[in-house]
Amino acid sequence: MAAIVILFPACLLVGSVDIPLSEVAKILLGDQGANDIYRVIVIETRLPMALTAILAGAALSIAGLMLQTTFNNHLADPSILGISTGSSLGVAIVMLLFGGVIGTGLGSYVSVLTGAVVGAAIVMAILLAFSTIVRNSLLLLIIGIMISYLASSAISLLNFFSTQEGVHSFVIWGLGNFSGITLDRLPVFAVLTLLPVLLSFALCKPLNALLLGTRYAENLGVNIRATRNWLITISSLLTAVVTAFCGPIGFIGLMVPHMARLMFRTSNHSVLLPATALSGSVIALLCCWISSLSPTGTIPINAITPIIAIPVIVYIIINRKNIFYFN
Amino acid sequence: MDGNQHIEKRVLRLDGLTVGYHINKHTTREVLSNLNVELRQGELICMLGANGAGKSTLLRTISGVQHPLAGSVKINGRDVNEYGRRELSQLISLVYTDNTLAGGLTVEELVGLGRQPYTGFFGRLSEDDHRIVSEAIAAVGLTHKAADYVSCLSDGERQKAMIARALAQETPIIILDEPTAFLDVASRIETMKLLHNLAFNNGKAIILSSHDISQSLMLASRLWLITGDGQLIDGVTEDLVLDGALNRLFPDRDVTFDPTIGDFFASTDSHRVVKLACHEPLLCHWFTNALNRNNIITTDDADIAVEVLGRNKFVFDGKQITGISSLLSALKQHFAD
Repeated sequence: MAAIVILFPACLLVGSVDIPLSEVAKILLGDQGANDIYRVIVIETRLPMALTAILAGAALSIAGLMLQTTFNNHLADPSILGISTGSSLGVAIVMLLFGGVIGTGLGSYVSVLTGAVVGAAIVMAILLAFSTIVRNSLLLLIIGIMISYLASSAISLLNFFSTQEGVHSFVIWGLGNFSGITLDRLPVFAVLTLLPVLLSFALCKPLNALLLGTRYAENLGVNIRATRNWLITISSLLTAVVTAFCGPIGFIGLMVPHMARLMFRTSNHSVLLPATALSGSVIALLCCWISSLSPTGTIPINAITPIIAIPVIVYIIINRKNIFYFN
Repeated sequence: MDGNQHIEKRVLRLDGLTVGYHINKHTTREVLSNLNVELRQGELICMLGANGAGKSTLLRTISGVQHPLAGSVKINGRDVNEYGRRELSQLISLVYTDNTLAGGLTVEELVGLGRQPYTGFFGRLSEDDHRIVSEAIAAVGLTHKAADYVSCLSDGERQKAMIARALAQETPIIILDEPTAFLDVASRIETMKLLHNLAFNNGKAIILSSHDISQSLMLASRLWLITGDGQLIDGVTEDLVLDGALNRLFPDRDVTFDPTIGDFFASTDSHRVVKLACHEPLLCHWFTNALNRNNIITTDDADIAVEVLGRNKFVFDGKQITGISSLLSALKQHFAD
C-alpha cells in the first residue's frame, strides 16, 4: 500500500518532459494556476498510464495466482498456459489479416479487444476440453505449453505473409506498454479488469480447498468442474483484456503471487488474493516508472519485466527448500 | 467415553457391490465382485492386500468418487451416490498421501479447511468452528504446533494434521488410503494408535488400507483381506489369523504367513532340517530366526537335534557349544559334509 503511495506520484513525475513536483501537485489538486502544457501531459498521458499499470498489474497477478492454484503448480501463469499467446494470436489475426496498419480509432480498439478475448477463449476452451480427459494438472500444464507453441507458430506464419506495416505495428504492440489507453477509455478498462478481480475474491473458499489438491477439495464439498471453469474463465478474461490493451506482458503473473506469499507469509487466499492484487499493482507501477526514465521515449515494458522477475524466480527456485510455502 | 455405546449402530453397508472400471461403452473390468460387508460405529477396519488388488478402487467407490459397476454402497441406509456434495462431505472424510500446496498454511488453517462443509460462502470460521478446530488439533497431539506452517512439520506430524483436518470435518466415517506409507516406525505406530483411539473412544467408523501387517493385526477390530482373485474376506483379526486366511493375500508369491509371529516371511523349502529343543519362548523365537536365516528349517521330526540350554549354551551332535556363531558354524559344517 505504502509502495503504491510512493510509486504513483513517481510515475507522474518522470517522462521525456521534466515537470517539477510542485506543478504535478498543483495539477492533481485541481489548481487552475498550473501550466497548461504540463497539465495536458500529466492528465492526458501520465495519469492514465499509471492507472493502467495499477489495473493491469493487479489483473495479471490475480490471473497468475488463480492458475497456480487451479493447476496445483507454482509455475503456472497466463503465458505458460498459452492463454496470453492465444490472445496474441487473436490480436495478430485482427492486426495482420484484416487491418494491416491499425488506426487509433475506437473501432480498431474494439476489434483488437475482440480478437484477444476470442483468442484467449479458444485456448481456454481447449484447456477445458482437455481437463475433462486429462485429470493430471501437470499434464494439463504441458498441454497449455504445447498450445502456446502452436499459437506462436501461427503468429509467425501470419507475420511472414503480412505487410511490413502490419508486422511493425504488431511488433510494437508485442513489446508491451501501459500508455496505449487514453483517459476516456480508462473506465472501460477499469470495469473489464476490476470486475473479474472482484469475482476472484468470491472464489476464496474453493481456492483454499484446492490447495490440498482436487481429491481433497472434492471431499470438502467443492464442485471441482464448476470451480475450475470459473477459475479458467476469470483468468482468461483478465489476461485477454490486459493483452488487448497493453500487449502480451510476461512474468508478472508468474512472479507476483510468489512475492505476495513471501511478503505476507501465507498461502491462505483470503489474505493472498488482495495481497497479490496490491503487489501486482506495485510491480507494474515500478515497471511503468522505469520505462519512463529514459529521456528519449518509453522503454517497452516487456524489456523490463524479465529483469525484475527472473532474479526473483531464480531466487525462489534456488531457495525452495527454505521457503515456507514449499512442501 | 465408552466405545461400547456406539458399537451397535451400522453406518455403512456394501450390498452386492462390484467395483472396477469401464474400459469402453461395452466392456468393463471388474476388480472386486459381489462384496457384502458392513461397517459399524467404533470399528477400525484395516484393509490388506497386494498392490493392484483393488484397495484404492474400493475406497474410491465407497467414498462416492467412483461409481460402482453393480450393487451399491449405502450410508445410513441411503445410496452414497444419492447424497448431495455437501451432505456427503459431512458423512465421509478422506485422508490421502497426496502432495499438496498447503505448506504455506498454518496447521490451524489447514485443519480449518475441514470446516468447509459447514461454513458460508467465504468460508469464514465461527467461534464454534474455531473450538472444533482446536479440539481436533488437540486430539492428534499437535496443539504446540498449531501456529506452525505445515511445511515445517515432519512427515508423521503432517499426517496427523491431515487426520485432524478429517476430524474437524466431523464425519461419522473416516477413510484413509495408506495413511502410514512413507512414515518411520515410531510415526507409524503413533498414527495407528491415534486412529484406534478415535474409533474406540470417539465412535468413529474408520477404514484404512495398509501394508503394515503387524500394526493392523494388533489394532484392527476387523480385517478386510483383498485376495488376488477379486474376493474380500471380512472377519475378526484372530479368526482370520487362526484359520490361515492371511495366506490367501499373496497366493502366487513366495511368502508365507507365520501365525505365531503375525507377519509374512519368505517361504523356505530347504532340505536342511533340525529339531530345536528349547524351553524359553524368547530364546526359542530368536534361535529359530537364526537358523531360518541360514536356510535351516526347524521341525519336530528331524534326524538331528539342537538343544538350547541357555542364552549361550547349546548341545549339538553330543558336543557342548558356546555362543550362537559357533553353533551356526558347526551346523554349516554338518550340512556341508
